[in-house]
Amino acid sequence: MILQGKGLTKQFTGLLALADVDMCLRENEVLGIMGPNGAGKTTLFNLLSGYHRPTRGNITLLQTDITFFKPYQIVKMGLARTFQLVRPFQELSVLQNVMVGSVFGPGRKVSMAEGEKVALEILEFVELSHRARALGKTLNIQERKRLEIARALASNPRVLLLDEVLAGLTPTESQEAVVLIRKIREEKNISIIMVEHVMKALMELSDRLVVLNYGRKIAEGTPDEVIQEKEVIKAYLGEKTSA
Amino acid sequence: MHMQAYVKPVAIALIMLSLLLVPQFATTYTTSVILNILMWIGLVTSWLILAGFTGYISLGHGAFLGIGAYFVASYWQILPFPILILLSGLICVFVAAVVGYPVLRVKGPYFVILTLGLSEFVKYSLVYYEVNIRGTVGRILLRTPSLENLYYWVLVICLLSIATAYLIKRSRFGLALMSIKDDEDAAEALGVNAALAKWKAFAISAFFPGMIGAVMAMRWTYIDPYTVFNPMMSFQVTITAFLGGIAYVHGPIIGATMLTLLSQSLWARYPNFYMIALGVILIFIVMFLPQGLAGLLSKINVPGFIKDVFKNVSSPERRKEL
Ligand SMILES: Nc1ncnc2c1ncn2[C@@H]1O[C@H](COP(=O)(O)OP(=O)(O)OP(=O)(O)O)[C@@H](O)[C@H]1O
Ligand SMILES: [Mg+2]
Repeated sequence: MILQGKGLTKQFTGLLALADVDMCLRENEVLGIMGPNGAGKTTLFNLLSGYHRPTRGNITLLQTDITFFKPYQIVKMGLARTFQLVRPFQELSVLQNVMVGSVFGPGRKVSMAEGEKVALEILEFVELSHRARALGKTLNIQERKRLEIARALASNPRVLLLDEVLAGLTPTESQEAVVLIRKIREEKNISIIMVEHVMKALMELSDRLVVLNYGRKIAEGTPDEVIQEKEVIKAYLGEKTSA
Repeated sequence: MHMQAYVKPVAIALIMLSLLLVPQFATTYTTSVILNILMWIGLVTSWLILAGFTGYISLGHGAFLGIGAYFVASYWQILPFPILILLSGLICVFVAAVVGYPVLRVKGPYFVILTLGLSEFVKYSLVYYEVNIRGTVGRILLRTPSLENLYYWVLVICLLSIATAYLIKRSRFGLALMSIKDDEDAAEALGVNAALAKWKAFAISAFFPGMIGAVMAMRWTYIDPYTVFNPMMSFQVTITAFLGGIAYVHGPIIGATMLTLLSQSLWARYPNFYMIALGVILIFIVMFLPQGLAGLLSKINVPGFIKDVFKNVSSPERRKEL
């Protein structure tokens, strides 16, 4: 077990965003998180990555209790995330964007020279090298999403949280992103949790799925098991149908 | 191409040389005007170490100037001048470190107001101390160093602040600060300890106004809390920075030169008109020149001899952007 959350609960004023959710992530696994809008998926990521403190519950990453760690400490522990709303550093070049991750993300101190070398490798890996010198704000959606992944990878994480990295992409771009995620999994020793509305991609990529609805975990299992569950069908009926 | 590579160092060397020779050859009046320009360049450049890199706009920069001035006034003729200057800077670093930690947690407009409030607080505490405990209003400084001596001190401090900005820009620290400016949350997600980086930047930026205050007190020879803690100093630092363009290292140089010359020609005869001019300039920059004069220059492609420091990408790519 590489990452574990127990009894995770997040109460916002007047709203229970996450209620008593247990989850775990195994070595080299892709865990998919699905659920309708507002189900608490991003909230779960915010708890795991230290952006919100859980109202109750605790989180263990690689045998360390990280429940009260700060975001920058959690990256250094080996858990990197992307944001649902991709936020490249607008005024920094693509290379500098990735260097922020490669210089500050790892648990040890990395020099600018070494950070640049790693960043260039990662840009090659996500096929964004040709844009290395462009400013963050000049990227299109697809490039932004790739940059978001590249920055997270640059910290050399053991666990990667991907929050809707396929959203907003055309079907072709989306398929290319699926290929990239697969490549991350095969070539790097990284376990992945991904939140996605694109069902097809989730089914293809995930080893296991967790389904959230109104902050509760309503199902968990292999993709085939989960889509059979009555609760899941009910939660998704009348919901927007996803690609 | 190859010629260009020599133009910059040669131009910089020439400017340095003429700055060094100013007190020898220029009139007292010219020397004091250039000293004023250098003072503003130092103040604005050091202010930009926080504001330019991280986007945190402080209206408390002038307070450090006041603290430096008061420190030097208290120990003048007790300790040697160079030690006093250094200590003034270090005390401001210390003060910034103490107030900075809580204050830098506040973001956006609240940060701006808070820094202004804090510097007013320092001012009135000092007024209280001076009037009720010492029984004085101001202090007169005697046997102050010569204009020439002060000129060289300000020149050194000014160059030091520019060098510091350059070095930070190229360092890991600079990368951390620039990422904070664009998106503090994303920076933290990538491992940047934003609170620590901002804190360091604030403390470093306070070092220079502290030293400048120490030197300028000697130039003013009379100080009182109302003048050395005048919030106008902080406002003018900000306006100068924006006029020059906060993204460029030559921004402060252009801004400080323009405003000092303007104030020199207007202040003595039409003080109110100078204030109106400042206000108009501010409105004008906000509405038409968000990149400042340095931004305007880079747009019309005048070869700048000093490379932009606070801008994050070197010029060729940048020019395409603008
Ligand atoms: N910082 C916050 N303060 C208050 N309420 C919040 C906050 N963040 C999220 N919420 C609320 O918590 C609930 C869960 O939100 P969350 O963003 O986790 O949903 P999600 O499953 O990621 O949805 P989506 O598919 O739209 O991204 C929503 O009702 C949301 O409005
Ligand atoms: Mg979400």
